[in-house]
Amino acid sequence: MKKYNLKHIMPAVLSLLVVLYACDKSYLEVPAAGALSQDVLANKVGVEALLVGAYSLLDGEGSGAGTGNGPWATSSSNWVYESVAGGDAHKGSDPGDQNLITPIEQWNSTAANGYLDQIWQQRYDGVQRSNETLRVMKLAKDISAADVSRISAEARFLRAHYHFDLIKIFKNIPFIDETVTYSAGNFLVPNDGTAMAKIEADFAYAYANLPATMSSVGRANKWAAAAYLAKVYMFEKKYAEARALYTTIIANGTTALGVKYALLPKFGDVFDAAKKNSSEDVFSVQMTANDGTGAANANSGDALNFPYGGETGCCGFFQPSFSLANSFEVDANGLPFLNNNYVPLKSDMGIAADKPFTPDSTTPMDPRVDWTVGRRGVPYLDWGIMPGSTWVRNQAAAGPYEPLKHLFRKSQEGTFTDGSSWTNGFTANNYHLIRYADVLLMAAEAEIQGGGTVAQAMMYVNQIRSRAANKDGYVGPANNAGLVSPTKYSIGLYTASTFTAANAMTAIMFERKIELAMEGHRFSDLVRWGTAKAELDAYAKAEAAQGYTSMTGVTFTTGKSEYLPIPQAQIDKSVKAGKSVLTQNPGY
Amino acid sequence: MTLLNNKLDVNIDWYKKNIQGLLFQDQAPAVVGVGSQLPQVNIGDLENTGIDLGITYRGKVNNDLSYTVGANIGTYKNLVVSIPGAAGFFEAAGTHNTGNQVRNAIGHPVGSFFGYKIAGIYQSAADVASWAKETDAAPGRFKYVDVNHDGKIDDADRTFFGDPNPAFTAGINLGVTYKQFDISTVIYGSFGNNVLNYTRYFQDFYPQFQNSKSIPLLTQSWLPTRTNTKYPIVENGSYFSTNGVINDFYNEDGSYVRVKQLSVGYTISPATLKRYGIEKARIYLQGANLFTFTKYSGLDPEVSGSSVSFGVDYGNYPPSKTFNVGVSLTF
Repeated sequence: MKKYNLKHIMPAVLSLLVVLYACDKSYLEVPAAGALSQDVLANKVGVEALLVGAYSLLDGEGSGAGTGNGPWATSSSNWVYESVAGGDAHKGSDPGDQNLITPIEQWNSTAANGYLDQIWQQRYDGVQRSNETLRVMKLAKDISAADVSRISAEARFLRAHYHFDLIKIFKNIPFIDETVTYSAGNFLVPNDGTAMAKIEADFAYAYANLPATMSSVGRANKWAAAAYLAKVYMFEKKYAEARALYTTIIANGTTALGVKYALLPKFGDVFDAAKKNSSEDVFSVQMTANDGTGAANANSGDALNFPYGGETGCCGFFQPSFSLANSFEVDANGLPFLNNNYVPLKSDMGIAADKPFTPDSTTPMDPRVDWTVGRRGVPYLDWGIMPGSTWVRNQAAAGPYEPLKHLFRKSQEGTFTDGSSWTNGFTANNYHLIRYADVLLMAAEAEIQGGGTVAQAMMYVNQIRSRAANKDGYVGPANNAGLVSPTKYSIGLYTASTFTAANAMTAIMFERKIELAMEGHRFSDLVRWGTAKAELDAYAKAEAAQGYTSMTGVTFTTGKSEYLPIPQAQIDKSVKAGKSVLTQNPGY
Repeated sequence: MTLLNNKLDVNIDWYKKNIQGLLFQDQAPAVVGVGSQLPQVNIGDLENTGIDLGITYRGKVNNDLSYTVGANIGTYKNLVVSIPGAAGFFEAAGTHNTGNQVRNAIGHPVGSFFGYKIAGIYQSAADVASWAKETDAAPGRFKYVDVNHDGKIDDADRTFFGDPNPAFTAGINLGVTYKQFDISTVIYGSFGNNVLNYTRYFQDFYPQFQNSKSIPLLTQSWLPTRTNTKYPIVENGSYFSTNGVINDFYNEDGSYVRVKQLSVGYTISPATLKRYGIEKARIYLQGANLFTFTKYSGLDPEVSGSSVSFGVDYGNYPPSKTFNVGVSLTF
């Protein structure tokens, strides 16, 4: 028997195999590894998953788009673009920490600011995930008509939201619908001023096609779409339409789980992660901790915004402004100083933590102050009495106050904070994109501007104030682990003599400032009202006078500062025949 | 070629290498969905031209003493020839604080540093008034170059201020054998490359995380009475005209010469070893990264990175100095 030597045969066999395989040309067309093709997803399971993927970018993270400056640049709360730029808060931390925020805070950013390009990328990624849901759904054959209607309404709600976040910041943005894709090459879409109407159309579609009750919390329902649509009307100054819609929402609106909209009895509970998704949540961005993803679904955009030096977390950003704290002062009737003629509140600015400081206990204050602004000598949730500068990263540069609303309680550490990250700041605290108090206050505005009555507007505002006046909800032993507040709380309701046709809008605007402070609404509110220049110039002066040197000599430029510049990188990438299809905003 | 009875090797390589189809993410506008749609595409082209020269000389003085001298020198020029997308560039090396520091642009070397150029420090209010309009300009702060001469300092005045690619690199290998002793060393040098020393952002500016601060911050910062300095005024604030944006304050000459390796050995004579059944034994002492000669102020000038962004120093660890003592035996 002849022996065949394997050593000689094997190379021949292998070579033959390679040749045979190589002869088949299809070996060149290997589907991309790790990417799902549309065919795999074009069915109910796949499309529902794509939709969840579109929701998942609401938290500002995980898009794979630019993340160079960290998730804070794309936080769902827009704390940089709304609350810091709007004067609710200082940037905080050391002056050079997250330097790119400073020009935004000073209404003087350049188009090269990396924060701008990053949020542009992240939000448009959300737009395209929404669009992809619509595109793939058209290919699927096993989805019922009812589901097609719901899914397209949810996707268009999300698409409108992502656009709306950008239009508030940049105004002139391109609207990207599901026909725009990379492979079609039709992505040079001009920013020609037509976006707002298309956003409105998407929300109107969502309102018309979404069910009132959804399968799970966190999904947009009919009423969330209605509230968002009404908000868009307010931005478009379509006050009569807004008023009619708000009236319907207030009469009939329910949460995605079917609970009728209502304010929670206690103000502080709105910001308690243990009580999230309540009757007050019109639409909230869902955050979870300890879900095994390494905090990928936690509130990472706000993760730097915790006192520095205490036990709560890290980094010392987002410090409430002097003006915000002062705004909670009230007069003898428990009403705010609508013309801002308060006496600046005594603070521990410049006083070391080991030097004595007696917190103010004589100035009457709206009780919401101590749920909004962390002040020395006052209970800080259940963390203890705020000790002053030892919890502040750089008091001389950024002021003495610390944020509160997005914080977790000490008792919630490990439950509503993600233990897998470098800071406790990755929390399960939702972001309230629209809460019922916001709806009531916008409804009050719509009453005044859209042909309603002053009395009805006052009734809405007083609902907010009544809840704030609930003594069971004050900062104090019952709500703050036995800690006693030194603050003299006082809050009254408006009456026909204090809430008049002449001052109604001012009162509503002020109420929005203090009720929704630090919640990512302020700057676009000021721009929408046309009061930005007057309010913010006064703000800059007042802050500088109290020692916040970042605002020294800073002024708001009418006709420019209302909107940030279109990111230069995007203008440069959108060139068609030698000219960019994106036009830069005025003044930049 | 080899000359002089195998004593001399000379090697010259001249090359022009076009690298085509480098994998870059397509640079279409973000409205297509950067994370969801933008693919990596093979459309980046680089051109490298360079020359490498190597010489080795082997000499023998007598039966006891012989030596080897090797030297090589290389220089290259590298240019970005094409980049996907309409912009003609893409940026890299972003930081949380001041944005991207590197711009890869057509016609410029890969990894070029990009930002504002400092013309000097404002010395007085009159100095501020006479210069182009600059945000936050004040005495003691940086005065930037008005590159486009339009009377104001803005995005358009950013420019390429540094190149992390060396003008040339050189190496020397020396070996000497005298009787049973041998000594050898490898010396390497890189010349004309820039390093963007971003560690100075944290150490040379007061408001940047108030922990470790540099000595120049304390002793050389601008004062009305100390005007001849490169270090700006110390402030508890961060400005466009100090460290709010990337500027060439961080740009340094990263040239260095390093003794990468030095070893001394002693070979024990075979005669001594025979009775132990050992054919050959060498005892040696070896050191790596023993000395570095550089003017670079950071921890170490040898700063690596990715293929499109390198030479940006975030405070990387220097290569460790190591010593080995060893015996090698052949039975």
